[in-house]
Amino acid sequence: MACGRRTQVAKGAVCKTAIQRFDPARRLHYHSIESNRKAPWETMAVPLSQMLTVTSYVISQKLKGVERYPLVLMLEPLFRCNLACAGCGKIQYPEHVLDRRLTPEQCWAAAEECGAPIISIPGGEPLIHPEMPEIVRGLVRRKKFVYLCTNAILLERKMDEYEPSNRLIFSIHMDGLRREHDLAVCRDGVYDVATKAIKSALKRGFRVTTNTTLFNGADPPRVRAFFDEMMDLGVEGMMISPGYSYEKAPDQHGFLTRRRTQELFSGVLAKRKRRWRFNQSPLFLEFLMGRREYQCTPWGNPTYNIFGWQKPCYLLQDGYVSSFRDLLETTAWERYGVGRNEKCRDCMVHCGYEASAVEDTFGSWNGFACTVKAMLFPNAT
Amino acid sequence: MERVRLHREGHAVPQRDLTTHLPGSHVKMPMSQDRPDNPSEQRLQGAIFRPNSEQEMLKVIELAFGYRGDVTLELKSGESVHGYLFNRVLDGPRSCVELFQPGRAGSRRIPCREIHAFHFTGHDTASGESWETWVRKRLEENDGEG
Repeated sequence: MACGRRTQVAKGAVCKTAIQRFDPARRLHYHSIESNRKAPWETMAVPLSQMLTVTSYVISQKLKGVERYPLVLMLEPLFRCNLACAGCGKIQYPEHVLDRRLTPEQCWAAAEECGAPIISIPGGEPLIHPEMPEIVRGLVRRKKFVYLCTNAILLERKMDEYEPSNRLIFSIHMDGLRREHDLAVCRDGVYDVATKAIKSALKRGFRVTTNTTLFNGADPPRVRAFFDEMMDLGVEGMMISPGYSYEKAPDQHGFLTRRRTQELFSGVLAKRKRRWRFNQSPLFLEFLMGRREYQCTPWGNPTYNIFGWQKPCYLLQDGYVSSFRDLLETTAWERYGVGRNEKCRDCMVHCGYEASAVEDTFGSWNGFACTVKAMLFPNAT
Repeated sequence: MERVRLHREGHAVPQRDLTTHLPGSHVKMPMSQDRPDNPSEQRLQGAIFRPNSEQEMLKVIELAFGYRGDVTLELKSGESVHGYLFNRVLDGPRSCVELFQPGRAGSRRIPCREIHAFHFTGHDTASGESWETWVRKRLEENDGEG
């Protein structure tokens, strides 16, 4: 069980079916499985095709001399959710606002205008959106990698409306083992529903990752056991981040200070197991552990939702503009980030700093070398 | 720093000076600060503000912008506009607020100079009540098991 479903697929007939369903880029990823050899990319949490797309995109931005470029578009087509998590400040709106949704055309236009190679669709719960399959199909057609972030409550019921693709990833919200997760989402039984949905999605050939937010009081040994459990389930990779101290979140006591975040993630990620695969920048993980210092890159993950393009980032709401260009040109970026804005003081969240880590990777040969080293030897200090 | 005096009306405590305490709260309205504190702590629901200067107007707009409930704007024309104020554009005489109104597609922009009063009429959805109920239920269940 230790190697998870990926190994089982490698030796089984399901693999060939999967190859037939996926595009040529995906075939490269599965080539090593078919031939029963372990290529380096086989141990990576992100398929080679996705890595190459992001790499070529970043390099092209650098060659063009673009100072501020987006990496991941945070697309929030609705705020309605079927959960009310303690640490979430995203969904507290009047009913008539929760009833509003972005149309597929609005979503596609935002993706095209922004140009980011990756689209993350949080919310709200995106699977509630009746046109979500159409939105996803349109984004995939536009050659975007789409992370559909869901609590998975509706996933089994809605899964047939989506087609497996190497460009579609179900990113399942999992905040820990059963006890911790059900507590975080304020509803018993959700962990079991989500794990069942993960198994079904994997069985049907979907890419599946998890996204985990850690709050004050997280217990490193339990978090590590959770990583084991997710890898046992066979997910492609995991994403982790500290919670952001939303002003509007119901529970105002669970948020981490910067120092506490570094302590927690040092405990969680120390002596990392080789089998844990993280679907994020290795330098970002080092940043969470306090081994690196970064300034926030809020334009790296711009946010578009029913209100417009959100200034300055996914977490702070300082106003809205109607175009991505306006967002880039009219936001006073120098007012945000650690040491610049009180609201950013304790923030170490992925949507601000993952892009900083990627910028570090491609900003210099040293950054690139550090990234390779962090990938190959994650436990080297 | 200059202190801004702003008059607030409410069902429970009419005509209060915002530099003093708000009803049912020990939190002082930070009208003399550059940045308003967390409005969710200030129990704005039910409050009415009639700003008398541009400076007061800006302060109230920030409160309304941070408020997670509907507001009703009383315009100088006599019209009453009810909706969720989700944006503000502060640009001198061209400043305006943007609202989503129930039952209407698209948003409506209203120049700030046309606004006479702000009524915080809607329920503050960020009041945390549902979560508190869940925590209470959970604690009761745990007590029952223990």
